[in-house]
Amino acid sequence: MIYDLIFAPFIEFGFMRRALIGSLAISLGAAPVGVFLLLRQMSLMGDAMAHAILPGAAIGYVISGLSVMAMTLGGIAAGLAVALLSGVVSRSTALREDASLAAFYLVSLAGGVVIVSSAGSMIDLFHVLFGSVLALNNAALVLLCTVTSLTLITLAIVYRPLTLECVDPQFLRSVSGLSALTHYAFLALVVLNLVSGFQALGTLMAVGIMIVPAAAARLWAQSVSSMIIFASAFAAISCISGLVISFHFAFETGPLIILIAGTFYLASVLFGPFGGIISNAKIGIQS
Amino acid sequence: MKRMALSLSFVLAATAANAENLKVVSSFSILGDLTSQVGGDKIDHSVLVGAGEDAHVFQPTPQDAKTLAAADVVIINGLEFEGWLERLIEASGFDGEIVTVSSHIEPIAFGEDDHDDHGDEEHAGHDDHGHGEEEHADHDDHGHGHGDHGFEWGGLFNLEAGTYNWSFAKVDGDYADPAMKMVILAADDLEAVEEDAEGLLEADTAGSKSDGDTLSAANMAYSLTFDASKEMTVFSVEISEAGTYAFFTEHMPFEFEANEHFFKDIAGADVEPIAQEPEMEHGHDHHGHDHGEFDPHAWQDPELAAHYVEEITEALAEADATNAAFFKANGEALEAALIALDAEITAAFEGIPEDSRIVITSHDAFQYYGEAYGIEFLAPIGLGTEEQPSAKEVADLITQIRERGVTALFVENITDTRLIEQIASETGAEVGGTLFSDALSDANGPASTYQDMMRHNTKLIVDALTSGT
Repeated sequence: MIYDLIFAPFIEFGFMRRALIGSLAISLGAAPVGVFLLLRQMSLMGDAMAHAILPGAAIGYVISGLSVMAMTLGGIAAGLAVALLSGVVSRSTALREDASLAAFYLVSLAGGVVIVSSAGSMIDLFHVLFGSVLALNNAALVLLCTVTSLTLITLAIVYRPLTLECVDPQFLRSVSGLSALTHYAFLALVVLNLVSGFQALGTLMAVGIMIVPAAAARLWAQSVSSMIIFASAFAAISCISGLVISFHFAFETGPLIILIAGTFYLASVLFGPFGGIISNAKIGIQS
Repeated sequence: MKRMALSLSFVLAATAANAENLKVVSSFSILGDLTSQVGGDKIDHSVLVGAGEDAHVFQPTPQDAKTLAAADVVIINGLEFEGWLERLIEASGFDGEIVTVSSHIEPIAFGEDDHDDHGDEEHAGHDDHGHGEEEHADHDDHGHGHGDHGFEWGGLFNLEAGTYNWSFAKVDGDYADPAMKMVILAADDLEAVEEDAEGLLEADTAGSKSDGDTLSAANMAYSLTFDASKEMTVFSVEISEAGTYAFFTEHMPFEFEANEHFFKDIAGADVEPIAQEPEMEHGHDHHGHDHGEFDPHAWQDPELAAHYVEEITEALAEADATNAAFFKANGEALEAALIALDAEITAAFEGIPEDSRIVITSHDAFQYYGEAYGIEFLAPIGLGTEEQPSAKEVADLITQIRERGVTALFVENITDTRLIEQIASETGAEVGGTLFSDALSDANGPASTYQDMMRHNTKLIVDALTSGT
């Protein structure tokens, strides 16, 4: 019974196994990145980035046609450029990071639209570039797993300065020259995770799996490391249950996974021991 | 940019060469090719959605609006294929004639090939459509209006005594025909009175009726004239005794449906037939008159494409009387070529057992082709390019491919190929190449004209279906 419900789909169908591996990889890699984004109050960056990569993808398309690899590389380049430029602007001007990011991504999107339309093609680049969790080919899987490994290694290296930067950026800047480097390395990780996620899984799922579990985890833990563990666990559980439910009930898979992550988030908002509504109310009564 | 400049300079050059030519705009490349074959060098022709471009996501430019505004005739497919075009035409200030080439065909409803239930029943049902010669014989009726039956449509209704309203509305600014005949008979089933109806419709003794007149079940045919000054002509139908009544019409009543159902009771509630001829795939009952309920890809059947050509020829001949003979000669030659093409394709599939004529594509655009040649097309993604399948749908499809030994998997020229490649690697079926559905290839490609496209598609499908055996 349980075997038929949960294991059979993965044993019988290769695309389900691929979907499982791909979504677990992104859970491991993107969810921790999401935790840091959340702590830095940049949770909306993912959506901005989905648009910011368009000119890169368009240039990739103009140069080598409908090659997913060329378009992905172009997308990563454009995403990095936008992330780094907005980082530079926010560090050297009075503008905050969200404002400069918004400005850069809109300019980037506009540039992309102009390039696409002047290339004379009406092909919907977004549609070609943004994949589906059910259609992971070998290249997409390799990309996802490589990005996840890279993310985990980089996070392990910059973990301390990055945490410090989240909590008190001024302090880090005053004691160490590594602050800027940490910041840019982190932005690069965000872009890599997003673009590879777009290509393999689609926009909604790439951004959703990065942000929603992290937001839920924030309400269950106080230390950054436990937040990361919670976030990855929520993400992984959402992916597995989303795949299984979508297999049995014919819901569209990507959105369903994010809906389940959303359920975790709502439950956390209510019952989360650190800052959830009920725990806040209790504290209110006690004091 | 280059392409736009090219087509623009082409238009300009052609205009300079002959200022008197009719200016014709077709909505997309396949219609464009048929129109070019009819119009030849006697029209200045431009195409909005060019070869290899996806009409589903087309974004018009100001240049397109300018081209439209200057046109005398605009040729569109209809059946909601060019959803964006209505607004563009309005915005451009175009005031010429819009020709909807699909307006007199019998469209196939969406979702006919629901891939949830492909058991044996499905197969039996499929045989009913008849894919042999017979099917082809009566295919002509659908395409060309008045066939040997004298009527195009018959419907059986279960009615209480009382008054009903039967309405004929203008679609896209015109009635599908300015007049037509109709017969109402008390009958228990359609087939019993079919011949009577035929006799009445063919006799010259029709009583003529116009807007507001009353019809009743009588042993006579009515000749209905539609009021061109109104958006809708309504006849009241008097039923004196409760019972079942058969209605026969020279055109499909749906061709005269704009926003509401054609038959209503006095309170305004829709009245649906309990039986129809030809049978509708999903009945007519649960269609809510939403737009886009029919599959627009009718050109995939060459006989229907021949009918497209007839419409195009008529429109061009009407708009430019001096060249009418030229258009008619071209049009007739092209129609004959398409009928021959149809026979050629039918012959190509001979020898392939119907059971094994199963093909998977990434975009559900071949219902008409499948209907014409007895091929079952399964598509993991529904119509349009926006939808994503659920894991269940993909799994069902894979199971089905394995169970029925499907060997033919195709990706089309416009949609994302990764999903279908994934399914191929999972089932061991071969990916058969690129079928062209909604757009031609450019001049150097394998499908630069309509006929080439149909031959290319047929060759690929036949090769893939026979590769495993």
